[in-house]
Amino acid sequence: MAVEEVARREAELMENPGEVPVRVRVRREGTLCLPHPDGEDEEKAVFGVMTFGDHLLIEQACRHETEREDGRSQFEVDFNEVRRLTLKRSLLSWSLNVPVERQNGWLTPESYQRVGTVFSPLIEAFLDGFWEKSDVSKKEQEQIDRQAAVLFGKSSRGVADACEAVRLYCSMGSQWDKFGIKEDELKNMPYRKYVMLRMMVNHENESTRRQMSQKQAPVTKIAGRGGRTRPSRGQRIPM
Amino acid sequence: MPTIQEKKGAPKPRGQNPAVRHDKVLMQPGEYEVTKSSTFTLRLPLRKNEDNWWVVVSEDEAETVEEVVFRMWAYDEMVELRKLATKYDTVRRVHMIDHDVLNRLKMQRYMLSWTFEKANQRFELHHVGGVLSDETWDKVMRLQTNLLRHIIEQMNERYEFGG
Repeated sequence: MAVEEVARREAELMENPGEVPVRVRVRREGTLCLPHPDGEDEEKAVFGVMTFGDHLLIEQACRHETEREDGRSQFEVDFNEVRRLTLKRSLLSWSLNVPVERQNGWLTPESYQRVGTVFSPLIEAFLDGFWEKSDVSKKEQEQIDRQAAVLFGKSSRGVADACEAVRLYCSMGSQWDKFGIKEDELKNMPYRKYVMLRMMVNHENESTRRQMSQKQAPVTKIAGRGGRTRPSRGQRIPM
Repeated sequence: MPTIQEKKGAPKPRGQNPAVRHDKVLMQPGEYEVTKSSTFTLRLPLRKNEDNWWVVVSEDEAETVEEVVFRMWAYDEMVELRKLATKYDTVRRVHMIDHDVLNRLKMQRYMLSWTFEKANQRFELHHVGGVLSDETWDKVMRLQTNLLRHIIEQMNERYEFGG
C-alpha cells in the first residue's frame, strides 16, 4: 500500500472520529461478488463507532436464560444475534447499491429486509473488519499484559514505546482524575477504549493486591538521626 | 336526482397500510442481493483407479469432470443456520459451532443439482420445500468420502470466504 494511501486513510479517521470505514477487496464470479484478498475491486462500508453503551445494549438484548441438563438455569449470550444486531445498530452506509435506511439509531426493518439478502460472505467480511477495529485483538492483549507488568512493577520507571492502552490509561488518569467519569460519558466511550482501560485497571489492582499480600515496606520513608532512613511505623493512637 | 345511499354494514374500503412500503416491495433485487440465479458451480476432475474415483488436480488428467451447483446464502439465512448449529459448552462456558452440522445444513439447503446422477440414477436429487429430501440425503451420504470431503471444502471456500 502506498504511503500516501495510508496517510489519506488515517486523515479520514481523524476527520470523522465517529465513523469506522471498512474496505474489503472483492472478486466477481458470474453473478456473485465475494471477498478475496487479491480481488480486483474494492467495496467500502462505513460503521458508527461501537460505544460501550451500544455494546452493553446489544449484549443485554441477546442475553437469555436457558435450562441446563441438570435442571439448573444459566444465562447465555447468542453471539450470532450479537453480530446481526451490531450490523443493524452500526451500519451507516456502504458502496453497494442496496439502500441503507436508518431511523432512531437503527436500520429500519424495511431496509434490513434488503440488507439481509446480500451475499453473506461479503457482510461477514465487513463485520470482521469492523470488529477488528472495535475490539482489542489477542496480540494487543498480550502487549498490554507485558507492558502493564512493567508499568506496575516494583521498581518501575515507566514503559518505553507505550502501547495505546498504556497511553490511554496514563492520559485519562491524569486528566480525568482516573475515575471521575460520569455514567453518560462512560456509555459514550468507544468500546475498544473501555476494554483497554478495564484491562489496565485490573492490572493495577492485581499489582496492589500482590504488594499488600507480601507485606512490603511502605514506599515513603522517614529520615532519622544521621540522615538514615527507616520505614514509617505510623502514629500510635492510645485506646 | 337519485342518490345512492351507503349500504349499512358493508365493509369499508381498506386504506393504504403505511407499514407496507410499495417502493421496497416492488423494487427488484439488485446487484449483491441473493436471487435464484446467485449460484456457483464446483468442478471435480475425477480419475478412476482400482474401482475408486480420485480427484485430480488438472482437468487434462481427468477421465471425467463432474459438476455440483450451489446457491449462495444470504446474510439472514447464514445467521439462522449458524444458530441451528451452535451449542453452548457449559463446562468451558463458550459457544461452539458444530461444523459437521453446519456443513450438512448448507448441503441440504443450497445444493441445487449435480452431474453424478447421469452415471448413477440413485444419485438423483429431490427437493421438498427447497430442501433435499431425507431419502436423497441418505443417498448423498453414499457418495465416496473423498469426493464428499472435496465438495465440502470447495463449498466452504465460497461460503466462508476462503474458510
